[in-house]
Amino acid sequence: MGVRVIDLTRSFRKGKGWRPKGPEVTALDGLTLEIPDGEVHGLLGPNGAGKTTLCKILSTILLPSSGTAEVLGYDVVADAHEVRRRIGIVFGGEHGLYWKLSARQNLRYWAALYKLTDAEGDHRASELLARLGLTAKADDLVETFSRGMKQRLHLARGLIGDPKLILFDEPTIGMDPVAAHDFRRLIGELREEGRTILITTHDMDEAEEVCDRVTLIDKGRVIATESPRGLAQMSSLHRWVEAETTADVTHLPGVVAVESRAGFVRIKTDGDASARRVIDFLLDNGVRSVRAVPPTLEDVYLDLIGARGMEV
Amino acid sequence: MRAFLAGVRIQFWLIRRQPDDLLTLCTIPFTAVIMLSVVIHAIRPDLVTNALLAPALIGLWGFSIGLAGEVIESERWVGTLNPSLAAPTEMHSVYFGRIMAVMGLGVIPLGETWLLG
Repeated sequence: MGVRVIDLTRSFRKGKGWRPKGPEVTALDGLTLEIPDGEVHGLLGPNGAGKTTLCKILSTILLPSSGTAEVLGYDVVADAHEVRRRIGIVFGGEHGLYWKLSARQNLRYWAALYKLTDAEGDHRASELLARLGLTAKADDLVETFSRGMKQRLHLARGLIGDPKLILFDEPTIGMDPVAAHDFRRLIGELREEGRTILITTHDMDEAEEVCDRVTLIDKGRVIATESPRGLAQMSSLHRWVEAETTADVTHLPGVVAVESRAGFVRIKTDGDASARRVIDFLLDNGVRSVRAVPPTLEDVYLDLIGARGMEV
Repeated sequence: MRAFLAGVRIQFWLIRRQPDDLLTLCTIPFTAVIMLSVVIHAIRPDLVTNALLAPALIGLWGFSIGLAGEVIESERWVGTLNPSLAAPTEMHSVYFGRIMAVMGLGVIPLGETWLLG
């Protein structure tokens, strides 16, 4: 088993100092999750859902308040050293690199932390720089890199120890579409190499494209774990109709929401009967094209977690 | 030992890229001259040793507080602390190496004041 988390809880008190006196916050609340070896697993949830806390516990940076977490068969508390030898972590954003050093120097340093000799570290750094298309920039300072290049270097850093499990915390933040596409291709390669991958992301398209299964979490609890397609089928609350029309359907019974985009409308209905009623109405009113579509992962996410706007 | 040397090496790489951290080395001889001139003007030859030792200690403290004391803080600032803690190497050896590299540079002011003396 790649990851086994049973009834995991992590709580802390808000405030500053050694003994904060603020209100207790529960980041993870009895979370249970299993990820088999070789799976690409997505972790989806709103800000403050507990995704990063789970990643930090799995990477031995944080201790759980209660419950157990195992990575590749090793307990993250009792066998932390064994866990660290087998994992790689990749954080999104621009932090986590030494900007005043070159890409190669960064990788050589991290190679030393993963107990590689200088020769092994040099070889591994060159190999990863080539794999991620950074060879030409290998000796340039990281501070001169674009965000996408920094993100690729993050990825190289995460792979330096040849990990069996890789934790990605919002890895495509700041990447342009081409870089994000390349990243998804790389995830496919890592999967083929038999590595287990856990990705936290807000990008539903990315989760749908690269993940074998996804887990929706909110307020530190698992809401659902399924394949992206299975999750869409689970969401039996709403049916969607897509049409190329200018007709107004908002007055029809059972229409929950209508989204218009470039001449197309996506109509959210409250069930099969309403969807059929909308299609019949559109066919009678000169629609150019119409079809019933399964909900996307984003639709399911909004259904199950709820649209909470800017609330965290 | 490898972790210690990795710490020493990265600290030298970082200092080489940020030479302003070595500014203290430039100020030590001037501080020593000021101290010596005060002592000589006061006709207190018994304090010459103190006047030379003080700038050296100021330099050492400057390095130790200014650089070594900031190692952990800067790691947090650049976001490398978390991935470091998740690495299989015990980080105290690496940070010990980094701090010792800085303290080694702190010995240079001693040489500067000895030459001046």
